[in-house]
Amino acid sequence: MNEADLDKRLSALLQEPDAAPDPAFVDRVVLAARVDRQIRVARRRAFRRTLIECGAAIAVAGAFYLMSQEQAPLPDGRFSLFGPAMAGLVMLGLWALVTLPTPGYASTAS
Amino acid sequence: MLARRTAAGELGAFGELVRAHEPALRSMLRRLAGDAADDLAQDTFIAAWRAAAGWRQDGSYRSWLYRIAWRQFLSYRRQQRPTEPLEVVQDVGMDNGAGPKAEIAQAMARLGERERMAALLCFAEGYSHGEAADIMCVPLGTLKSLVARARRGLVECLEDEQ
Repeated sequence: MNEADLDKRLSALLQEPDAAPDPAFVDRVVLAARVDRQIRVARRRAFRRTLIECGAAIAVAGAFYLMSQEQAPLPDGRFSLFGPAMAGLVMLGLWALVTLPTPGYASTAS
Repeated sequence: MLARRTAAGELGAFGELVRAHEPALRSMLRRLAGDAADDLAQDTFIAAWRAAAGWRQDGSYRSWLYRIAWRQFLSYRRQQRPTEPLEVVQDVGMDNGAGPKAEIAQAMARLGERERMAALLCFAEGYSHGEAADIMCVPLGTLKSLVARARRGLVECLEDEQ
């Protein structure tokens, strides 16, 4: 038997009859693809939101820093606790407290 | 057409593609990877869904799927312990008794993974050496060596048969 005949014989032996599609498998894959798409959309949205919030926080912190530079300096280089910069920092802290997710909250809630 | 619609994010078109290609892909993976075939087939389709926009339209969609499946298989094997032998289903879709088909399936199970994949692509699926080399991401010479080794391994059972 030459090589070509041998290959033909091997092909005939290794070929399998066409199987019918498995609807359960197809449904499972399509469902996994749908979930994958939803996760990607949610991740992209969360990433964009994080970027925007980081930018906003940096802008607000910068604004309050500039305001603190405008205040008349206290003697001995001390801070004034009642200036606009301190009020801004308190507001920023409150915003972070309300907006940012509490660690462990999601896991205990579910 | 379906692949283009899938690249545009149409899940219905993707479902049609899965329906069209899953029997062949799962059959090939079953003979390559045994029990892990269904998980690998699902991972392959999801990887194809994620990379749908990257499909080059100069080749067939099935070849592209097979290339992804081969990479998934290699990555799966890397995660396994190297000493752990792969349990390959020797005879799927054929009668489990004696006969040339059963013997060739056993001979296939004895081949190395790369030789088995080369034999599946060139003998069972009818790909040319060039196409099979492209799917397995190996140089043409390497593919020819793999096919030759696979042929040597398989021919013994044919000789026994005669």
